[in-house]
Formats: sequence, C-alpha cells, structure tokens
Amino acid sequence: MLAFAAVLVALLAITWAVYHPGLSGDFLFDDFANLPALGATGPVDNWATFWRYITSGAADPTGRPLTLLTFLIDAHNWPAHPYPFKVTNVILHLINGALLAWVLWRLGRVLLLPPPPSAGRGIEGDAFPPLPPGTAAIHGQELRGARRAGEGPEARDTADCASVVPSPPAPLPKGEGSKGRFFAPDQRGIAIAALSGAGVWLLHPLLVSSTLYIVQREAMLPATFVLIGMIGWMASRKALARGHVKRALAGMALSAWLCTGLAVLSKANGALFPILLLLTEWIVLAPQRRMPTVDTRQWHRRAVTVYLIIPSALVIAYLLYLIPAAIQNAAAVRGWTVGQRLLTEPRVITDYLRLLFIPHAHSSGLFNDAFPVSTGWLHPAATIPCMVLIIALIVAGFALRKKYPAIALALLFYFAAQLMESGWLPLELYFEHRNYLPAMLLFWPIGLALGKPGALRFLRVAAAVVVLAVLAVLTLQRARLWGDGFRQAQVWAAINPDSARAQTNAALYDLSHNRPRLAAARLRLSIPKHPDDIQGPVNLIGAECRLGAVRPQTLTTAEDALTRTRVGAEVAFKWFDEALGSASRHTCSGLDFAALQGTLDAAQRNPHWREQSGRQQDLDHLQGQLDLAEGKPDAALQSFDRALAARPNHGVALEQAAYLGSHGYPKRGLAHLDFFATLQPGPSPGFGMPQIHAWVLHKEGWWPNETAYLRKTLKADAAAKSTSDGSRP
Amino acid sequence: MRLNQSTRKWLPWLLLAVAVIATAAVYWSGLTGGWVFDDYPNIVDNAAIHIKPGHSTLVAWVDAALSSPASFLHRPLASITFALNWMAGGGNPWPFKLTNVIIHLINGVLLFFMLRALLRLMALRAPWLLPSPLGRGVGGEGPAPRDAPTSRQSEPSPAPAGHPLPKGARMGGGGPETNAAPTHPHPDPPLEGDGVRATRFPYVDDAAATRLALIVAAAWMLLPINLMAVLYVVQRMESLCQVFVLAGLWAYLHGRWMMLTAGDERRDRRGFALAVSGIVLGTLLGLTSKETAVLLPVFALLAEWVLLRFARKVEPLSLRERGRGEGSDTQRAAIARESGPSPAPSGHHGALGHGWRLYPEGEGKTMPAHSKGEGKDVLALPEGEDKQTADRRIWWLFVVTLFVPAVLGFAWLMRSALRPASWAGRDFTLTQRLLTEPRVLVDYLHWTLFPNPMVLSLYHDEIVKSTGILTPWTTLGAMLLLAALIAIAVWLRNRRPLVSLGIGWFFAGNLLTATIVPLELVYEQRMYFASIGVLLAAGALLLGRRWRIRLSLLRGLVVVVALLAFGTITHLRADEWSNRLRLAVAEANRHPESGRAVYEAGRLLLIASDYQPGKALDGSWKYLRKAAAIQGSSALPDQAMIMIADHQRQGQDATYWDSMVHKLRTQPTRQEDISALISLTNCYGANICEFEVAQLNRAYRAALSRPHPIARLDGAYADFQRDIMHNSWVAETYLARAVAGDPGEPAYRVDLAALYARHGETGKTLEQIDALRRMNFAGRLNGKIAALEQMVEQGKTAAPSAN
Repeated sequence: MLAFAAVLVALLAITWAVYHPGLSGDFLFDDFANLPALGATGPVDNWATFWRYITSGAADPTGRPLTLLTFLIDAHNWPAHPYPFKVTNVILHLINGALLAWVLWRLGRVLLLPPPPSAGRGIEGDAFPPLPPGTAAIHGQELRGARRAGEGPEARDTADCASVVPSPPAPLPKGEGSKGRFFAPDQRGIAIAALSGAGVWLLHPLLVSSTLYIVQREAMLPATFVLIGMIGWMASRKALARGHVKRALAGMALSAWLCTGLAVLSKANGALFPILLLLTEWIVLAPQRRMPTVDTRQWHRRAVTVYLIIPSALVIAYLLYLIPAAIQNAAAVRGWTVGQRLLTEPRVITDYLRLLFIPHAHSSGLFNDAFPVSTGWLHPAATIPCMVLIIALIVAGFALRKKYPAIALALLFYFAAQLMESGWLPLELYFEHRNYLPAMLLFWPIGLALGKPGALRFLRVAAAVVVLAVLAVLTLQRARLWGDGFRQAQVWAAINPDSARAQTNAALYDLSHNRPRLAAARLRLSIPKHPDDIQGPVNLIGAECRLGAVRPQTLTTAEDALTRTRVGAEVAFKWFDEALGSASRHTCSGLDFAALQGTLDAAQRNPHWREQSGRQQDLDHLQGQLDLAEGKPDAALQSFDRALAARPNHGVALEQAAYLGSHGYPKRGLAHLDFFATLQPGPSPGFGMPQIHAWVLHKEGWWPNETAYLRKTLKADAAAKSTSDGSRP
Repeated sequence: MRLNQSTRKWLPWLLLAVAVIATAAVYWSGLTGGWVFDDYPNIVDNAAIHIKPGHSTLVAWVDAALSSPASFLHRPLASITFALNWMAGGGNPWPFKLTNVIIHLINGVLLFFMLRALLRLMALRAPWLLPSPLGRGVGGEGPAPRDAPTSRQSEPSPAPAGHPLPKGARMGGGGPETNAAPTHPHPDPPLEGDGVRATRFPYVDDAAATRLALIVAAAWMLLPINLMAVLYVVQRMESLCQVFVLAGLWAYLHGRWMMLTAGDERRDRRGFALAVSGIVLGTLLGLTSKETAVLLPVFALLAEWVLLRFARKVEPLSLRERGRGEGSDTQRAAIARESGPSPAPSGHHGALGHGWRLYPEGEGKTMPAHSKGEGKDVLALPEGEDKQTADRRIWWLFVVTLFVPAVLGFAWLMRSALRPASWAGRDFTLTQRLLTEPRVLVDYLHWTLFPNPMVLSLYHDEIVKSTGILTPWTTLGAMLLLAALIAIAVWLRNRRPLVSLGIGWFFAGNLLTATIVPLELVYEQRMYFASIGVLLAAGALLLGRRWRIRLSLLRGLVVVVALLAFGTITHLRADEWSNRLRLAVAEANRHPESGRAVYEAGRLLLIASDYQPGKALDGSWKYLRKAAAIQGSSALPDQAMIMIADHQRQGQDATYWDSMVHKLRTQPTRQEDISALISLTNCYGANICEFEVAQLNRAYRAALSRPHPIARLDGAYADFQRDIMHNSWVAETYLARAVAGDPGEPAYRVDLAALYARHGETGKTLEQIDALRRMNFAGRLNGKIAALEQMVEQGKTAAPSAN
C-alpha cells in the first residue's frame, strides 16, 4: 500500500511537472464567453453579487453553478489573470488522477480477488458453483501467489480466504470455467493495473485541452464527482454485503444521487453518471460480488433499481425527448442536420480513439470547425467504416462482458459517457475535451494485461514505464505549446488550414503582436474558403485599418458574409461596437458611418436572423447606436424603441437609456424608460437557472433599484442640460 | 590433437578473437583512405551533420538525424553516427572508417552467435517435428533412409555418450582426424549398435556446429565483397542496419530454442517474447539505418520454414503410442540424445547440457516410456490423433510482422514502380531491370565465392543491361541458373537444410534491391547479408554437420586456402583504398568501360593538379575525355572539362557544352547530371569559371526538356535563375515545381516562400510558412520561419490581388 501511494505520488508529481510549462498560457476561445460573468454585475465581493453571479450561467438548464463557484477560487472580478485558473485546473486534474487510481484499485480487487470469506460462505451454495478440480488447483496456486505478493493491509483478506477456503469460491461467470477469469488474483498486478491505467490517463496529451482550457473545468468537475460516487457506491455495496442495510442504502443514495446532482451542477454531462455506475454494477460488481444473503440481495436489487436504473431511464428518456427540439435547432443554428451529425460522430469518435491510442505531441487543438461533416453514408468515404467500427466496438463491449469484463467496461463506459456530447444534441461536432471523463477506464484493461502475473512481468512493467515516459514527453511538449499563446495560435493555424476559427485566432495574435500584414495575409487566405464566415472579414477590416485603409472589397465581403451567416452574431455585434468607436474617431480610412450602415443593412437582410427576436433586437440596437453616433437622436430613440419592443427586457432598456443619457440626450433616455414601462413584459426566462437568476434579481430588487438610480441620474442630467440650454440663448 | 574439457570451452573464443583481429589487421591499411562517390551528398556536402563540439543543440541533432537525402525514412541513426564522427574528427574520414570496421567486427561476432543459435536449433530437428512421412529420410543432411548405403564407421564411438564432442575433436579450420570418418555424416540406424551408439545421433553435433559457425563468420568477416560495406563510409547505413538484423535474428533463434526446449510454460513464454522482440526490435531499429532491415522477418521465416517448420514443443507421448505404426527404432533413436557440456561459448550450454535430455542414455533399443526419462523435456508428437505440431503463435507472429506488411509494402512499392516518373532518373525500365538482375545475382555469387580483385569495384555502371531474354544470352542463362538454385533449395530442404537455408538467405537478402525498386543495378554492398547465405550454403556443403568428416585434410585445406585468399584479396583492396587517388586510377584502369570510375580518376587528378599544367592535368584530361566518350556516361566529365577550359578565363569549351547538352537531352537525368549542373552554377557564381552563361542555361533547358520533372533539378534551375540570371519569376515557377515534386523537403519551401515574399505574394508566403511549421520538429525551422515572417511583415505593400 505504501509502495502504491509512493508511485501514485510520483505520478502526480510528474504530471504536475509536465503541466507546469502550460500554466503560463492565455485565456482561450470559450473562456471569453464564460468568464466575464465574474465582473458582469460588479466584483464578486458581497453576497448580493455572489448570488447574481452564481445564478448567471446560461449553459445547460442548470447554468453550471458549481463550476462558476469554483472560478471564484481564482478570481472575483473580470478581467482577471489566467494563471490561478490554470493552476486550479491542474490541481483538479491531479485530484481526479488520484481518485481514478483508487477506483481502479478497488475495481481491480473486485475483478481479480475472490470475495471476502463472509461472502464466500454464503447461505446458499448455489451462489458459487463448485469448481472443476483443475480450476481449484489453479486458483489455489494463484492464491498462494497472491498471498506472497500481498503486502499491505489488504493482504489479510486474501490470506484468510486462502486458509479458510481451500478451494476458493471464485465467482465464475455463468457458463464459463476458469477461462472466464482473465487474470489471476494478484495484488501487485492489481496495483500495476491501477497505477498504469490512471497514469496513462493522467499523462495523456489529449487531455491537455481539458486541463489547460480553463472553461473546461466544466468537464473536469463531473469526472471528480463520478469518481467519488463510484468509490462511495463500492463502499456502500460492501457495507450491504456485510448486512449494514441502512448505512449501505444511505451511502448508495449519497453516491448515486448526490454525486449525480453535483456533477450535473458542474456540467449536464454529469447526468450520465447513473448509466456509468449501472454499467459498472452490471459488468463488474454484480457478477463478481454477489450479495451473500437473500435479504441483502433483495435490498441490492431494490437499490440498483431505484438509484441507478430509474435515473438512467429518466436521463435517456430526457435525451430522447430532446430529439425534436434538436432537429429544429440544428437546422437553425448549425450548418448541418441532426442526421448528418449522427453520421459524422462515428468519424469523430474514431478520431478521438486514434488520438487516444496513438498520442501525438500536437493536435488540432480547440479549432475543429473544419472537421468535414458527413453528408451521406459515403461522403466522406470513411463514414461507413467508422460507423461499423464504433458499432463493432459497442457490440464487442456487450459480447465480452463475461469473458473480459474489464475490456467490456472500458469500452461501454467510454461510449456511454460520450452519449450526450457525441449523440444527437446539436452541439458542435468535435472537441478533444469530450474525452476527459469517457477515457478514464480506457487504459485499465491494458494495465491489467501488463500487471498480469506470469512471464516477463518485469519487462511488461518496464514497457508501461516507457509508455508513461513517452506520454509525459508528449504532454510536456503540448503543455509548452499551451503555455505560449502566440506560438500556439500559429501552430494551430498551420495544423488547421481550413479552420476559420484557427486562422482568425492566429490573425488576432498577429495583430496584437503588431504584425498586421501577416494577419491580413492569413485572413485573405482563409476568407475565400469560408464565404459565410463573419469573423474573417471583420478582422480583416481591423487589420487593414492598421495597414492604412480598408479596401472596399473587404467591406463587400463582410456584407456578403453578414447576409448569409448563421452563426457568429456575437462576433459581428462586438466588432460593430468597436468599429463604431473607430468610425466616430475617424481613425480608420474607409471605415466610416456609411460603411457601417452598409454592413448593418446587410445584416438586416440575413434570413436566418430575421426570425430571431434576439437578433432583431441586437440589430436595431446597433442601428440606434449608429444613429446616435451620426447625431440623429430621434432616429436613435426610434431604433432603440424598436429593439426593445422586439424582446422587452430590463437590462436592454436600462442599457439603452443609459446610452442615450451618456451621449447627451437624457430626456430621450427617460422617454425610452417610459416606453419600456408601457410594454408587456417579455417572455419569462427559460426553465432552470435563468429562472432562478430572475428570481434572485427580483428578490434583491435589482431592476427597480437600478431603474430608479438611472432615472435619477437622467433627470439630474436633463435638469443640468436644460439649465445650460436655457442659459445659452 | 586431443582437447580436454577446458580447452573446448575457450578455444572457440580464442579462434573467434583471432578472426576478429585478423580482420582488423586486414582492413587496417584501408582506414587512411578518402571519401568516395555517395559519401559526398550524405556526409561531406551534408552541412546538417557537420556538428561542431560547441554547437550540439537538440535542434542540430534533429536536423542531422533527418538530413540524409537517401530515403524518406532518413536513416536517422546512421546520420547521427556520422555526425558524431564528424564532431570527433572534423572532416577527416579516418574516424568514420574506423567506426565502420568496428561495426563490421561486431557484425562478425553477432554472426557467429546467430549461427550457433541456428545450428543448435538444427540439433533439435527431430523427425516428428516434420510433417513429412518419417521414412523419407527427413532428418536433414545426415539421416538417410534405412536402405541407403551406409558407410559404417569403423572406429567405435569417438566419445562416450554424454560427450558428443569427441575427445579427439579438433576445433577450427584445421579439419579433424581423417581416418575412418564416415563417408557421409549419415546417422546409422542406431539399433544395430549398442545402446550407447543410439545416443549419439544429434543432427548437428556441437563441435561441428561451432566449427561451421566459426568458419562461416571468419570467412564472412574477411570476404572481399564485404569491403564495400566497410571502407565505403556511407555504407555504414548497410552495416549498421545489419547489426540489428543479426542481433534480431539471433534473438529470434534463441527465443525459438527456448520455446522448443522449455520445461515449463514460463520459459516457453519468455522464449516467445524474445523471439517476438528480436523480430520487432531488430526490424525497427534496423530501419533507423537502412530499409533493408525489413527483410529480417523474411530471414527468420526462411529459418523457420527450412529448419523448424513452425514446430512447437509438445507433451511427450508414451513409447507404445509412438511405436504404433511408424515407430521404428531408427527414428526414436534419432532423437535420443543427451548432450554433454556444450563447447559453444554462447553461454547457454548449461541449458543445452541439462535442459533437453531427450532420452536417458544407454537405452537405445528398448527405449523406455518417457516417464523414465525427464519427461518434461521430451520433444514428441502430441498424443492421439492430434498431429497439430505447428505453433500457432509463430504463424501469427509472421502474419503480423511479415505477411501483412509485405502485402502493404508490395502494393506501395508497385505503385511507385509502375509510375514512369519513378524511372525518370534511370536509363533502364522496370522490365529491363527485372531482366538484368538475374545476371547481377549470378555475378554476386561469383564475386562472393571466387572474388577477383580485378573485377570487384565500387562502380559497376558499365554493366550491360538486358533488353530481352536473350540479349545478352546470359540473361536466360542466369535465370535458369537461379531457377535451378531455387529448385535445389526446395529439393534439399530436408536433406541439407543448411544449404537450402543459405540459398534462401541469398535470395532473400536481394529481395529489395534486385527486384522492382527503381534503384541502380549493381552494388557490392547489397551482398552484405546475402553473402552470409552463400557462405553458409558453401560451408555446410563443405563441412557437413558431423565433427568427423571424410577427406578432412582436403576439406580443411580448402577452408584454409579460402580464408587466406579472402584475407589477402581484402587486404589488397583495403590497401588500394588507403589512397583515394591510387584507388581511383586503379579502378579506372581496371574498368575502362565504367564512366564513373574513369571520371573519378580524372576528377582526383584534376584536384591534385590544382588546375596547373603538368602531368597530373594531362592525366586528368585523358581520363575525362575517355569518361565523356563512354556510352551512357553522365554529364560530369563534360562539366569537369568545361571547368578546366574556363578556369579563370574563357576557354575553348563549345564542344564540351555540346556533348553535355546532347547527353542531357537524350539520356535520363541522373543525380550526377544534376550535380554537374549545380557545380557549374556554383563555379560561375563564385567567379571561378568564366563561360558564357547562356550555355549553362542551354544545358539546364536540355535537362528540363526530359519528361517527368525532378525536384532537385527544378530546385537547381530555380537557384540558377534567381542567383545568376536574376529572374526571380522564373525561379519562383521552378521552385513551386520542386515543392510539388518533393513536398517534404523544407529547403525548397524556404526558398520559395522567400521569393513569394519578395514578390509581395503574402498569402502564398504564408501557406509555405504554415507548411514549414507543420514539419518543424523540435523547432528546427524556427529561425527560418521567423526570418520569413519578418520578410512578410517588412515587405513592400502587398499587391492587393488576393481575396
């Protein structure tokens, strides 16, 4: 046990060391979509802000409050420094690794060691069919080996077992002789399997894009709760086997339900935990550790039904229930249909598996938007083979569950944990961090094979060490890349020449490093490949500003993209905001109000956005801003009114009124607020956390307070203005 | 000479050491030689391996490892050893050649061990391991059918049972005592004799095995044809690769021996693991030096096919069962053997001695059931009807390491072989190559067994290619001869397995280089492994597998003469190699039809003359003129003559230009032709040669008029256009062609990107920069990428054409 702990600590230390160069990296991509909430309603330094912040999540129905909570460890305001976030992520990864080693150790013991004697001498003899004489001898031999090898507190069990039960009642899978027992019971082998399985996972370069990608703490926390839940479930099972029914049931409730709850509060993915636990129970725990008495068996059956089967069924039912909405949304938001997604995902998962089993130093990173969508069974040609492969692996998982339970569990665990993110929900197609939880058990069977007692185990362990060393080197290289945002952007752009995001990201880094010509060159290369993409043209406008003048054809390109694009509205609107400032200051030749009006008109023509009230509101809002900048306050007020009417909302009303006020039109600001008061309240926030958020705001009297404050300010401004107006003539 | 036990232990070592020292001595004088031929592109002109002691960074080593132009796998280990040598001695070839000799000696020692392991496995070859009917005399070189004429040994058993190596055994090449040796190393039916006799029917006796291994290893080390892999520095690629091949083969054979003699499952599995790792690691590590390592599984498969038949160790079966039907005492006795302490210095004689006592001694005729012997070590057929004696694991091993890769590899090679562009640099076609190679193989056989210092050479470019089955007529003759050899190998597989295996290894060793790969036709170093096969076959024919042989004096004499001849000829060659000018002149005089040999003499004389009129320059002219006139010769001699004519001043060069242009226009463009053009470009650029630059342009255009672009030629022409003609647009076009032709070569991309940047084509520049970034292992291109980016950023305003 001591050696186990020592090796584990060494593994964790190595993991820390290889991740260390990556801690100096930047915020990336979705970080900017999620983390600014930290400062959205002021620094999180009082309870009112805290509640507003913690309920501010809009992803998933839950809003992922637990993840948001952990971000407070690292910062209370925005902008913040990325370093503490990354440190916390890596520490969380280490904790997960340690938990995983523990889980694998327990699972290994269940799988390979005979049940403890109390269970073995169960009341009913049929629990353990008599072994054929040959097997008994083999097992006897194995047990002696186990006793020799067992050098920890756990060794006692085995020794007792061997002495009490000469022919150990190894639970044999149905219909299988000793063949069903893939591995001989041997404590050292179990430890080797647990440590190498967990070590490969800890040091795998593919997981760098979970651990060093701050926002994907969302993917890491569910893993933590899943592991804790598995440990708790196994301990509770043990308690049940010993007859402590109440304690066991309480423990199971905590493990299954509480951990699922916590995991879901971190990311919706955690809702799959009951399914994962059910698989573990079904493939490993139940066949290997049958409850000893009728009573406990009954309780166990009930517990599994209530704690695992029913929640699993509910989760699956809910996922199925989401299909119609998914079909509808995918068409509107993504460039593909749900059917195409289902065709594509086998290829995506095959690629994940390739990266998992043939690790690389560098991969496509976060920018997988260029992953080609399967548009038919044979387009691209890999679609069918990949689908066959995935189905074959799943079938193999079911088929092998008796003969090779570890392999079966690893496979089915992987695919079950991919169910949500790689299934029919219209999320993006491909992200490396989706493997964080699913891949946890994937390397364990290999570890078991390496730790299996027999010939050349020393060499096999040496091979495991070599594999770990190789992984460490690869992860170190990848972490180094992640530690240098600039180089990372360039390398990702080189690896993903067809990814608009990667190209834009690299161009933005070029701009920030004062290399506008390179940025412009990169964007000009990328834009023709993605005529619908908006981020390329708008950033090219920025780069051309830096180079002197915006070319008319760049503006045309931007307008074309704006009339066609489905996604990227946020990018466009954020850019417009900045461009407006630049146009007002006349800092960029070629980018004037007329040009901006042109882009805005183009966006108004976008058929995908016309149907969405939120987009309409944004566009009218921008129109109002533009009017104001052009010195047309009445037009601006009309635009703002139109925007507000499209989707009445406190926040928008206040923002627009304040905007009018700050541009010297406080009266119009007040008029806008009055207009808002006449509107029907907008649609109530969606089910889940947004509702709670609205409730928190209501409870705090946030909007009335803010409105009153703004009115007061505007009135004061109006008064001051009328005085000055009055004094002037 | 009678040897006692202890002598038998150390004598093989001593003799091996003598062979090693003798080889070193034979090669010693050759160490002072210079660079030749392909040493230049790979070592001398390959700046990446010129690592200086103070500048050994990781990037430099990665660069060096990937610098070999020889193949797409880059042969990194060989390049790294070159770089180490360069670091140790600068450009001095001496440390390179010394390293090569040491590698050769290591190979010799490995060969000895490998052969020992092989011959020990032969000793295990028992009739019941073979699927063929036992009565057919399947026992290998020795066993004859019962009705075969059997020469009876007049002398009684030379050694008591348990001591298969007779006391009178004589080690080494001297030949054993002659009188009364059997005419053939046939094992006699043992039952006629006493019980003791029955126990001494090994299929190879240990002493003979050691003797054969020693003689073959010594002969191989001294073999003249192998000089090319030793003193020709760049061929370290070949010899270093064979280190891993020989070690891997040895590991495989030893692993198989462990499997077949295993007393328990543990040992069996260890043996299998050793066999697998021998094949896998041997191949993979060998590939870091040369692609020929992929033949290792083929060599192992042949050993398996001829000797072992995929056999597995089976549980013993009782005598009664075995006796039923086929169990003549002959066969039973044939396996009955108890080995004494092995004289082999392999370090495993303990296992040999104790591990596989098949039957207890002295129980020849009335052999007991296995229970009486040490049953766990008995090799026998499985019980009952199950005759399945093949070890499935071995089949799978070859399926995974050989059959599947071979199918894929063949498909891949075929794809390139059938593409006409692959043959653009050769003056022969696929068919012509396939027709010519049989003659080359026969030549190899000849040069191996009967080496003639007048024929052996670095250059064999004078070989006449076969254009039809009878043009020249030797084509058909060679084919028939090789077919006969193959037939003999198959035919003798059971009776003389070593001959069969030797022939098999000879063919297998030439599998890559003598078939469809568009390589040049002849190189002696290609026989480096294949010569083992030739020597093994010859040695087995000559020496048999018994310690005592008939006509031993004569046979011993043959061995001694052969070794002496090999050593002398190799020494003569090494001596010639000790001075590159002498070597070149000698080769040129011996091979007046070889354009390369004659040109090399002219070139070295030119260097010796330093362009000053005199005897050397006259000699140079003579050779160069001769070389240029040889049918099918390259542009190099013309280039050299142009350089002499135009050295420092414009001379009378028109005829040489015309000759060169004619060659470039009508012959396939070879690497040498491109080198000639590059040399002229550099010479002109450095203001050393003062010819009319239009002539050089004409020469380039002539070469470029050939079908199928060649990346290096396109790159060279681009450099010429950019640096000499100052036409960067043409340069850009040709560099783009070079990049398309060789997308993995960063140098073309760097140049192309620089031109794009100069022309303001920032988008295209960026594409090249991104491509460079994708091949930027260990940051080796960081400096170039940064420089290119700076060019883009600081360049003139981009032509607004993109988008």
